[in-house]
Amino acid sequence: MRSCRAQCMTVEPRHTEPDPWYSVLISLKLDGVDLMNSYANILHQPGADLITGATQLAHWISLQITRQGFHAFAQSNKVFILAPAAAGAISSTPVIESAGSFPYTVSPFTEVTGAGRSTNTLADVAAWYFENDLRTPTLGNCGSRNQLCDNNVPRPPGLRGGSHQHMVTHTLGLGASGTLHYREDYELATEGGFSGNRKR
Amino acid sequence: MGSTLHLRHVLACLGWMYVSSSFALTDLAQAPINFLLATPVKPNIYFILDDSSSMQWSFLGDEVVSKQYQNAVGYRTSACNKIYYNPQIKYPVPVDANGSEYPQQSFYSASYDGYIQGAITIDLSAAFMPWRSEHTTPSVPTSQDSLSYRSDCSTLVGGCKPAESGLPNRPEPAHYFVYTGNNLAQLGDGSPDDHCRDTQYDSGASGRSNWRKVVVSTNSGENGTDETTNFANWFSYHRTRLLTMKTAIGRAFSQIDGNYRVGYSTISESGVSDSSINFLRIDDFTGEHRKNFYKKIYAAKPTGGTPLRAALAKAGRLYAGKLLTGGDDPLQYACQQNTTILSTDGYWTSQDESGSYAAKQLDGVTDVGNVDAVLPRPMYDGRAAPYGA
Repeated sequence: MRSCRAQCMTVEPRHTEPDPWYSVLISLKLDGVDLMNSYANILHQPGADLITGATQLAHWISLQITRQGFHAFAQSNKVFILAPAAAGAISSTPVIESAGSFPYTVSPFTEVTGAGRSTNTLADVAAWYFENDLRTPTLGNCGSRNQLCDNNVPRPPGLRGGSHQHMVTHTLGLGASGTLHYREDYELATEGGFSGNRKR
Repeated sequence: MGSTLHLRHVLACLGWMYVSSSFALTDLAQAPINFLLATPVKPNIYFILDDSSSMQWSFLGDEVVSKQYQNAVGYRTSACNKIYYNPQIKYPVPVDANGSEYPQQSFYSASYDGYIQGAITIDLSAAFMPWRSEHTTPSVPTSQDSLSYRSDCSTLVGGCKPAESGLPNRPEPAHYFVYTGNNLAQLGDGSPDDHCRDTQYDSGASGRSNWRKVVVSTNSGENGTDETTNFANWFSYHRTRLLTMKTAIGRAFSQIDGNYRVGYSTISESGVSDSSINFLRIDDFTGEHRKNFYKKIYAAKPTGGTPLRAALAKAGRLYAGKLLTGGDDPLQYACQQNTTILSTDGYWTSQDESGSYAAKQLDGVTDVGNVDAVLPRPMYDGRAAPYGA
C-alpha cells in the first residue's frame, strides 16, 4: 500500500507593530483564483501570542476554503494549507492580499509524502469519514429533495472540522492506561497532555 | 458526552433554515417568531457497542491475567483489577427506557447477570467467587433461559486456571483487599515490587502484609456502614466489562431526549436491519424507538473478535446514505451533526471482517488507506511531524 501524498503550504502571521490588533486576510490567490470564499480575520487580543493568532487564522481560513477541498490547520505559529489530491501538482506560490497590522509570510506548496506508519487502522477509518465529504452530487446521495449536500454543517470555533457532511467519532475506552488527563478545554488548551501530544 | 454536541450551532443551523424558508414565502409573519415551534435539526448519535468475547471478563487491564493475578490478591482488589469492587464507589443500578431504576440486588441472592431474567443467583455471603471459568469448581453456570455464560475470566491459553499455590478460587464469603503497603506506584507494573502479585495478607487492622482482607458484611463499609447491597449491585450490574458498559450507557442515555436521534449497533453485527437484536437505525430518541434501544443494548451477549474498523466504517457508510436510504436515511438535513460513539475494551482485530464489512471507504470496496499520514498531530501517526513544525 502506498502512503498518502498531499501538497502543503504555510501562511505565517507576523507582528511588526508593538501592539498589533487587527488584520484581514482579503484573498489567498493561486494562479489568480481565490481559494477563499470570503475574508478571514484575526482580531488580536491583548497579550495573545502568534500561536493563538495562527489558530484563529486557520479557523477562519478553513471556514472559507473547504468547498474547494482544501484544509487549513494551525501548528505552532503557522497555518498549514493542505491541497486535495485532485488539485494535481501545484507549482506556483499563492499570493496574499491583506490589510491591517499583520503582514504574512507565505511559502509555496511542497509535496508531503506520508511518513505515517500504519495503514488502514481504526484511526484511518475515523479520519477518512471525518475528512471526506460524505454527500455530494457526484456520489448521488443528496436525498430526494436534493437537501443533503450543501456544505453548511456548523462547527465549534477553533476546532478542526469542516462544513462538509462528515462523521465525528468519539471513543469510550475501557481499561486504557496512559497519562492523558481529561480537561474540558483540552482541544484548545495550550498546555496539558493533549496539547503536548500535538507538539511531539 | 453533552459537551461534544454543540447546541449553539444546532440553533444557528436552525436559524439559517428558518430564514431561507421565509424567503420562499411572501406572507408576512402574523406572530412573533417562535424558535421553539420551528422544526429543530436534531443531532445524530450512533452508539457502537463492543460485544467481543473479552467484554464478558470480570477483570480490567490486560496485566491482571497476563501477570497471573488471578491466583493472587491482584484480581480481588480495585487497586490492581480496575473493574473489581471498590468500596469508595456507590454502584448505581441500571435504568430502563423510562428512567425507572432496576431493583437493588440482594446480597443473599444476587443475580449472576442483572440483565437476564431468571439468571442463577448467588448467595454472596457464602458462595461468592472472584472469577469463574470452565476450570473452576463450580464452573461457569448455565442459566435457566438456555444462555450459556462465558467464562468471566480469560479463556486464552494459559488463562484462568486455579493454581496449586496462591489464593484459592472457590466459593466463600464476598471480600476485597485494601492496600496497606508502600509501593502504590508499582502496583500493576509486574516488577519485583509489584504487590498485586502478593498472596499474603492480613485479616485484621494490624499485620505486616501489604494487604488487608475485608469480608463484606453489614458493618464492613466506611465508618462501619452496611455495604452488602452496594457489593451485590456491583456483582450483578457492574462485575464484568459488558455489565459496566450496559449500566453506564443506559444511565448516560437516560439524559438524552427526543431532541436527539439515536441509533445502535454491536461490532459483531455487519447488517443494518432493525429485525436484528444487535442493530437499531437512527431515529428520534423517543417512544418505541427509545424502548428498542434499551432492549437491544441490555440483550447484548459477548461473541467473537473485535472488528472495530469495520463497525466504524459501517457507521460512516450509514451517514453517507450507502446502507439505508429514504425514510431510514440517518440524514434529514445537510447541516445535521453526525456523531458516532465507539465503545471498546481493546485493540481492533481483523477477525470477523469480511467483504465490505472492513476498513473501507464509503464505496465499500476501496481501503481507507493511510489518511492520517498527512494530518497534523495528534492524528499523525508517524515518528517525525510531517510539516517540520
